[in-house]
Amino acid sequence: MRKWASVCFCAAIIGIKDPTAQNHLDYIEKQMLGDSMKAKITMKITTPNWSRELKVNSNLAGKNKALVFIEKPARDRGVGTLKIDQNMWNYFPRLKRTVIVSPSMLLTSWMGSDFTNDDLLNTSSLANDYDHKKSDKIKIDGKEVIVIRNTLKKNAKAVWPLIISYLDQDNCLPYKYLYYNKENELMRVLSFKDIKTFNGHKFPSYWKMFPMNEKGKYTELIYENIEYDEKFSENYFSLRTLTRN
Amino acid sequence: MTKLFYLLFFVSLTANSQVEFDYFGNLELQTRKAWNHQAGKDANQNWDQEDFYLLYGNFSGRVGVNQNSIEYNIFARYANSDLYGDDNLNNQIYNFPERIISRDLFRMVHYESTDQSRFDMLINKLYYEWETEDSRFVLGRMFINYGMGEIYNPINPFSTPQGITVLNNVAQGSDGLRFTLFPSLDHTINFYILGDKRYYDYDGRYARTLWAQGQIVLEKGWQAIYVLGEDQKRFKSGFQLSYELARGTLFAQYLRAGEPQGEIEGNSLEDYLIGYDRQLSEKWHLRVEAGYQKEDDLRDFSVFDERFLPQEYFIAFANSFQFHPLVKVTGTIIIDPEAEFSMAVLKSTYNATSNFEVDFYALGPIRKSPEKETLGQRVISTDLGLSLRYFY
Repeated sequence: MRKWASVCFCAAIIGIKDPTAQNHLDYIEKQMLGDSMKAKITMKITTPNWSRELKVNSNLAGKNKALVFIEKPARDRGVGTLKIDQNMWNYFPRLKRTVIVSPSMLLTSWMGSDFTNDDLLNTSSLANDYDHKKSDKIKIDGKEVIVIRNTLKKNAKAVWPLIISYLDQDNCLPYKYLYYNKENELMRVLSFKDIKTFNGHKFPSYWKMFPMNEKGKYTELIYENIEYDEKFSENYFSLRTLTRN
Repeated sequence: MTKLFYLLFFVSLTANSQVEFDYFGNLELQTRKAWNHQAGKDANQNWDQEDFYLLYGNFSGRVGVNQNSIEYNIFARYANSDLYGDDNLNNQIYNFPERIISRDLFRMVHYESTDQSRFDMLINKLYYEWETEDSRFVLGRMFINYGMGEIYNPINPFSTPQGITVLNNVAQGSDGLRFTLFPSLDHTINFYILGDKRYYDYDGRYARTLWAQGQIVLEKGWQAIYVLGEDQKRFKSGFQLSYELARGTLFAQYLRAGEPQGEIEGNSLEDYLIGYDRQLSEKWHLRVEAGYQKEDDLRDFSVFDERFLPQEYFIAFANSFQFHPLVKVTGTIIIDPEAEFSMAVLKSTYNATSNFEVDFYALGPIRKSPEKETLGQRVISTDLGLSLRYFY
């Protein structure tokens, strides 16, 4: 009965009687990204020996446009990254220097964290770049979750060949993502919690990424504020805005 | 000039203006031990080993009101070494770039020199900026930074690339006016009117720069920069093309400079660059640059003024490896195949706290035939150094 109720609840949220894996992932992208979003994020990198904290302003519009600026620490203040379609640039305000970023940089760590440029710029899309297979529900941490196996499409450009996503039955939002490399080894785990509502969009405001190959290290993302459906001007996502300050 | 900035700035204020203030900068202390080579001694560099100390910093600020802003940067540098006593060239390398103002009309420099030290304090950025819906206007001393070359970047004569130097966050200012147009999201055009009284000597004649530089984002991973204009009494034109290849970026530059105009006689110049930049793995980044710079009859290859390690042909490999999230090691080797000369630079940067970095570096020559080397190459010593860098 409980199982039936939760299935119905998720179906009701998405608005489809028997949602497919694609329906789930489309719903998540729509719910979490909206048409556009403007977020203030605190990033905390923790290891057994050191920790760092960054403040970031992230602006996203659809899947192809992103503009991210670092607010803190002072060393990197104002450093910006712009993505338009497949083109990317970094801007270093101290020298007023704009640099073209190679696509290969997407897989690198963003500011020493466990998130990559690809994660921050939302370059790849779980909903569009992967083939999906919905499996039986399982229970993890006492929570019933929907399991979706996402395999990278043949010609898609994304970092991870396989991502397994656990979606929370209660709200249809991500609960945990498991990232596997080409050798099918689990490389990192991203968990989500603290669902908040920003402008009518439900969003897990706390993300925690664990790399499997670095014991004791993890990176937290705390979404302090998100404004959805921000009306960015036509030329906001441009080299002009990137180089404004 | 400062009064003019204030006038423009305050005229632009409106009753509903919200004023934004910002300040930032960095301070760096460097100490270096250098060992001279026989090739250096043969080139009249008469010393065996020396200590070199350098303290420098940037002090920047910005005041913005609506679409108007004033930005400044004060650069101060104190260097201490016995090498300042004679006609030694090494201090020019240790201090590179020595010339912080690229196109100099307004001076704004304080300079002191003794047999053992050199102190310079200058404003290398001070400008008023006004932005409209489809344009941007800048008046004053500004940084001009474009082009992908890190070892050599011929299409930008206003900023010297600092890929193999060990100074950080040093930018060169140029005096004049910039007008930027944004015809479309994919196309930006900058028009510059600059002046330089230091082309010969500061109190002598002056050279003007009329320069157009555009940047276009093309289809399918192509991007282009074009330059055209008059600079340092020569007509110059050139371009950069870059293309996404095998998940890296392939780029090429070409600049042609005609013979000098007026009473000075000299040759025309041609500069080429080809490079490739790619992240090879999660931690390993590789850049390769190869190029040719035609020798200028007016400025021989012993002069470090504008070109670091000047030589006609070069190929350079720059690797960086992120050993640890806080430790990055970079190794660069620049090779002159004609002179059979190479220079290697190894640098390790440790991000000790959020705003504090420590660098260890080593550099030195690898030489086979000193008689083939340029003077600039012969004077390269073997150095070990330490830098402490603080950001605010």
